[in-house]
Amino acid sequence: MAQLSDSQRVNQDMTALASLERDAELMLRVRDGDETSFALLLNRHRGPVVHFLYRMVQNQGVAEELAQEVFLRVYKSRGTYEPTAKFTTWLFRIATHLALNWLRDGKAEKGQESIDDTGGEGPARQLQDRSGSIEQTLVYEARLREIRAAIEALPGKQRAAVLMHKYEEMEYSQIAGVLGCSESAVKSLLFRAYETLRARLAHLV
Amino acid sequence: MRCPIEAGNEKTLMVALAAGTLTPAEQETLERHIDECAGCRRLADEQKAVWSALDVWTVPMVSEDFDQRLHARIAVEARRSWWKRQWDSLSHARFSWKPVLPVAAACVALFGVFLVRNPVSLGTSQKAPTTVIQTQDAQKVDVDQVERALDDIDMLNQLDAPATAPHSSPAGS
Repeated sequence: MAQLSDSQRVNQDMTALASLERDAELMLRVRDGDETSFALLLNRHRGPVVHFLYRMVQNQGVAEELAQEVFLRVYKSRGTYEPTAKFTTWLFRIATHLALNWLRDGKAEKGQESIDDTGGEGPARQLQDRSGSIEQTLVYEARLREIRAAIEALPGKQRAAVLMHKYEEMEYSQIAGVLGCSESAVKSLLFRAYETLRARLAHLV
Repeated sequence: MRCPIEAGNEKTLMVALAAGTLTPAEQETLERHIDECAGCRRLADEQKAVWSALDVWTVPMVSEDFDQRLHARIAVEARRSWWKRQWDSLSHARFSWKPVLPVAAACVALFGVFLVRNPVSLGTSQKAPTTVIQTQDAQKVDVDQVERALDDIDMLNQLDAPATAPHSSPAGS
């Protein structure tokens, strides 16, 4: 990953801060009955929520159903919304709660697509390198299976912490807010998860 | 720079190094140390490998009708009756009904025990309820009162009877 200069980092932080304030502002407008603001929030956060849930439950259909439930709950709570926490913290707290419940209820055994099943998603699945040979494709598919299996083997909260840290680029403090635990507990979860992943995936490179 | 493994913060630093969240100065310092420390180099390489491997995992695109389905669900929700919405808001509220029911049951049980030990009288008299016989002319006669009258008569008869030798009472009397 390319290292940012200090000025680039400051600009990125300010952009992120403006975005967060914008989220809260939009949600307050939703509270006041502005449907357009809800559409804007949905447009901004639909992808990250669905993708997070997809990696949590490893089933696209289930991920979208759970994501719809997330936004439905956000909409139903609009009347009592107060910006006491970051909007994304609240959003991912709902998403994580629903995903962990789904995993706990054992539906993963019934609905989870097979790790070996790479079909069913058609052109929507993005391969890393389409121009490679068949051998490269097979190697890629094998690596993907190992990665998904390694993530699937992680306990629910470790899995959620890793996905938020890696793919949502959340800081420890925000992950703590999502999981409802201390920052030190988040670090413990993450470091244990990465240690497991290092043992399973370090040979892939 | 002190070795992170010796300092006990190697996990924090190596994860931050792989994630690219160190400042340029911190990264330069750490990488200079990694060049000289086999243990830290191994850990850094493994963490970077994990990070790169996770980059491989891309995700499918969201369905085109996602928003349409969501709005349909919202519309269904809006059509639900008012009382169902109130019940749902209570169900999702922070207040949980769970501790209230056992507490209420405990209170009822305690009240029941209190009543058993301290029976409350419903009438002014402490006497047991008496059986009432309805006579032909609607005059109510207390059965206990009749029995007492008969006992009195019996007693009077005994007083009037001549004195006799005591004899064993027949079985059953």
